[in-house]
Amino acid sequence: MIQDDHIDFEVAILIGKYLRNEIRADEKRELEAWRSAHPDNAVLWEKMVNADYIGGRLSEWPDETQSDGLWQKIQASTKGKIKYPANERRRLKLVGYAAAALAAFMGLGTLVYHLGEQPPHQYDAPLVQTPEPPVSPAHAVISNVAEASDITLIMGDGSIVTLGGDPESLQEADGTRINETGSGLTYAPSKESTSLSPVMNTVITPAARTYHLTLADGTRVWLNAGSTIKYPTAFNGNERGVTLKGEAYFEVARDPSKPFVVMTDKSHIRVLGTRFNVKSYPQDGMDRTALLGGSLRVSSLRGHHSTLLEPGYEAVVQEDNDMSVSKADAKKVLAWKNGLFIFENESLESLTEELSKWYGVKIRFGDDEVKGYHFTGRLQRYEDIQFLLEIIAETAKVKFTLRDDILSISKVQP
Amino acid sequence: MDQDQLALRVSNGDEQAFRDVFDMFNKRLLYLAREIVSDATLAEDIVQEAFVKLWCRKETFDNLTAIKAFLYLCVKNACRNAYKHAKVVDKYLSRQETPVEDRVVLVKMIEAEVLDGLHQAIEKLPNGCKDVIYLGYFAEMSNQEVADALNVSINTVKTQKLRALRSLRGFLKDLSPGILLLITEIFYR
Repeated sequence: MIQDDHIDFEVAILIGKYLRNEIRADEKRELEAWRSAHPDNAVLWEKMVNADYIGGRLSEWPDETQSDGLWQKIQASTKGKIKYPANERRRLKLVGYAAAALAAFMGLGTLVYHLGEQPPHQYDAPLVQTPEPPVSPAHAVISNVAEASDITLIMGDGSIVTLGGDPESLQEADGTRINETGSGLTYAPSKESTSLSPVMNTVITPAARTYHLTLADGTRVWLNAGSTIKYPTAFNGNERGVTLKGEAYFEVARDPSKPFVVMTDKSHIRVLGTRFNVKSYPQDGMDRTALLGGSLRVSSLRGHHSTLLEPGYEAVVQEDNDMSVSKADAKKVLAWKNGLFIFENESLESLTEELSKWYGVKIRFGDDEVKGYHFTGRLQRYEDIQFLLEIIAETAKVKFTLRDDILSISKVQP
Repeated sequence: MDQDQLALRVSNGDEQAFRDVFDMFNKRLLYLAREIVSDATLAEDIVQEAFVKLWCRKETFDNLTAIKAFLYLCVKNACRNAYKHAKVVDKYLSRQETPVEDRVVLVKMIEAEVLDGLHQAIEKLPNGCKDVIYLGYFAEMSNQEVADALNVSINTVKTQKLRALRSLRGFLKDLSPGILLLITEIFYR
């Protein structure tokens, strides 16, 4: 067997530089080249920029006592007569290597392409060519002021703060302290804040970036990409109300005396204290509210439908205010929060719709046949769409061309 | 160069230099070996053997990169051998046909290198901060538990976390979003 004994120390140095943001443009290109050279590299790359993973790994890092013990042993065997530890000395215990390690490497970034398989699709989004979604006032303001790639906070007086940078502490007119950590905002209401007219704040996420909020009542909100949430800096009334466009996952702090209410353009969701996900992108033409714990009431805004949802179920409110309830797959619902795309027998059409939402690109099919190709698999929500497209293109005879935010998809001729 | 000076001293039999090289690399190697063989004792044996081999052949190295590569390769090969041996022992594993692929090990090596760099960054934090981070993050204690363990007030813990956040940020300059999250997590727990 030919062994590849070359060790890529350079790459490790480059990744380190990237993490410290000291990387030069040419080094970055080099790193990109390495990343796209092999799927394993890309998987490693995603791990190295994933805080949860890094945190977990660092907690496994050998400590000083182990090192010291090891040094004693090495000294013992190098002092006096130097002897190799005899081979028999290595009594082998079971090496539980295989499953875990390989699963970790293979688990992500694999995609199965179902050739010709086109099972009935239960709830395909209606193929209505919706015109450009109406632009909310908040979005209209933003487009002039901030970069499209910034996470933005609009404060009560209309001033605009770019989030996701250095940690900082802001103060609202009503005395509320707002702490930004770089990946999230935390509200600490001042004790005197009892102003009658609530101060409203708005957070807007761009494509491919998520954000985290801890509201004044302790409720935690994870905001998906391309979303807007509006909320008061303090909840003074007898209800805790927020407005959402896009997708968010809520962990509502329990307060039976003050129901928590999420408003979208189609639904009205009322809870006391619970965990749930609301998906309300205008381009979807429907709202999906999935309950993960506790209880929750969803009402359609214009219709008169209302339902008390049980955990593990989701309510779908259609454009025409028709409402239905079905079982929800928590893993799929929360995939975005865990940085994943999960596709189960998903047509290329709905798969790319998902990609278009996350990456903010428009999709154009050059061929209707490819729309019906089906895929199953888990993919990381890479920052860079190109990489993801490569993985998909590897599994099927599809060609992607990305130009000026328009993703063209065509069939590869054999 | 400083580092190659160290390699030269090792090759001349300087034990302090050998200890320095050990300090520099033992944790990454231990990490790597443990990741692959999933057995702490066996991993220690493998790393021990690598350093002993290095000492035996110390005259042949004139630069630190060569030493580093040598150590990694020793560990990699020993892991592969250990695996082959275990494979025979364990019928289940032999059915799986999952050899220690070079790629998998290679990728783990890079990971070990990157983590080592991060670990060193955390090590450079002031002591108070470091304690709070180690207990709060690595030992997964709550603020109150950390406060009790260190016999300080919960506010001190919070302040230290904030300080740690700031100095780590200073060290890592403008952080990438991923690492930022990590630090935010430390800060919040």
